[in-house]
Amino acid sequence: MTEHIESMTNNSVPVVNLEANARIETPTQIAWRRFRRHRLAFISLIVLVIITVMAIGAPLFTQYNPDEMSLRDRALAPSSTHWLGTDNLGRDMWSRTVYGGRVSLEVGLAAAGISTVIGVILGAISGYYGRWVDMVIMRITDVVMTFPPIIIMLTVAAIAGTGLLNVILIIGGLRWPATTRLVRGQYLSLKNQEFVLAARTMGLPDWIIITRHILPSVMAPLMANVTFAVSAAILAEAGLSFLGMGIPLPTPTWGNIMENARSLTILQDKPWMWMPAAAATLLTVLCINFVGDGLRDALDPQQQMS
Amino acid sequence: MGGYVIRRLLISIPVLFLVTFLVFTLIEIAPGDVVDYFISPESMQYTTEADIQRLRERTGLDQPFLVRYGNWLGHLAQGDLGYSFVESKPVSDLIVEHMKNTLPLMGLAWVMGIVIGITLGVFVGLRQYSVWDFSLTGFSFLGLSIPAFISGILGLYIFSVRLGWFPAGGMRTAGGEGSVWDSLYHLILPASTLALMDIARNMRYMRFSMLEVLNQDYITTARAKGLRPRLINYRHAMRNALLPVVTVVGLSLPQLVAGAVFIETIYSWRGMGTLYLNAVSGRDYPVIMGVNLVFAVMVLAANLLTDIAYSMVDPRVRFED
Repeated sequence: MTEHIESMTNNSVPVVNLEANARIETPTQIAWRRFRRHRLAFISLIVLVIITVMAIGAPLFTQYNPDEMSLRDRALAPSSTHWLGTDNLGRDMWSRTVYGGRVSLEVGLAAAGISTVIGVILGAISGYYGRWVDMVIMRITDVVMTFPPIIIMLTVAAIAGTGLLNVILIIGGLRWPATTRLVRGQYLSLKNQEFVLAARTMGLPDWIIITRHILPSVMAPLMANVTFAVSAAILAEAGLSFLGMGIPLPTPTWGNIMENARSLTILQDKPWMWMPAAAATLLTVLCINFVGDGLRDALDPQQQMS
Repeated sequence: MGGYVIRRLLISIPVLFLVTFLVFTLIEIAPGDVVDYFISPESMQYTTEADIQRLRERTGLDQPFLVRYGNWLGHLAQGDLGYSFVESKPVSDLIVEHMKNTLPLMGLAWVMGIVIGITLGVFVGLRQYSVWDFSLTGFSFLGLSIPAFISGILGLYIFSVRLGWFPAGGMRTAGGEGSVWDSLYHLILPASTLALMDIARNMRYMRFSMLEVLNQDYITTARAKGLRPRLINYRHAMRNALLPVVTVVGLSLPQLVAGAVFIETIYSWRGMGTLYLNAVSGRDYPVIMGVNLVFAVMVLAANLLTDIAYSMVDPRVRFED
């Protein structure tokens, strides 16, 4: 019985500090305060906001059209007129990098969104209903996980064709098993808790219990998972485009800009044609991963560091 | 023990069948079939519908889906993966040929990941919050975030183009007699860049595991009874900390395979990755199917072996369901 009361109080939302001036914080406020204390994660978040703003407002930060070729200005080294130089077709590299970020972020967010939705739905059903439903979904998950991610993505890209929408669907459609497993595990352990039993006793339909009662408790671990899914999707797009099976030129993405480096002369003598894209990808992914780490720590209920 | 292995094997069998079914279905959805490859563009105008129909009958393409899947499985069971559309060689020959080049690359990277990663993990695990800990943990974070195509390019640029320490790709010196040392010299840079992620991951897990074990009561007991610190650190702590890392090491194969595709492309290594990539860009479906299957079977086998190895080193696993 005491255990029962304890779990009830743990789930009651406001944390009341009785000793001091009885300040009441919502869980979001607690998480935000903890997150800010994670210095690296906080700085990363600011960097990400800057990158996102630049990607959205790309025309404001560039003076050249990223697709505009100029035969007179081919393969120029960085200068005051072309900050990051130009490529072999005379296109401004700074513009291509900024506009490339637009596409890369777009793909990352959209694909992570798709894989998260699929993962949550399958994971929730699998974990909540258990038995044969769980068996079937888990075996499918096993099968998808048996293929190394980039391998199966390349296969589907070879069959379905490349292009922005296809790349988003391919990455989103193949990246869900990790989320499914995470969500399933959460549902498995939560479905036997008293609050679920109470909801069931009250005769609530399953889908209400799944979405309104259990899902909020899954949100914390899911948030960190979503951020990692975004960085994984950005890397998957960059990888596919780098191999020439992703988003085709002339649309710039960080991945297909880096494809330049596959030519040894460019790699050797014209680092401005691939380094900015590599640096931008790495910076973005590092920042997202730091934010994910910070989120995981901030949202972890096990960590009772107030 | 035997019971556990059998139970674990039985789970893999339906997965293996589903894998073959998925591969077959995927290729089935693909536009075009082998008949398109038989008819050259020049002979197109002389080919009638009836000719195509005859070709489809002869190649068995007119049969229903499940019959063809069954036939394909039958051939597969005998090691027959069909013929490459492009190279007109049996797919199995192509795979064996390229696998010989990929195995040293992935194998060396895997071993480097284990040896270097675990050594560094133990090293920093024993020195929490030191300068070493901060710098190496930072490095491992970078190593986990950097994708193979960026580390590969940077490795090539720094160590080959700028410093000139290693050759810029290829598997042996052109025109050379191809000694073992020459091959090894060409192997080191690609294998190291491929190993980077494994090193980072193994180190991170090993460090975490060491820290956890060092907090256990039996370590305190060992310290209290005055055992030498060396003995405590390496005999008591490290051996136990290695347990969970077994799983991480065994499950790293998919990432290694994915990394190899990029590393082989960047360093012009004639392995499975390049074979696969050429097949993908040439829509050479039999090769795509074959490589997918080989990789999937490798991953399944690695998962199986990992589970068995883990149940051997940690007997508790066998008894829980």
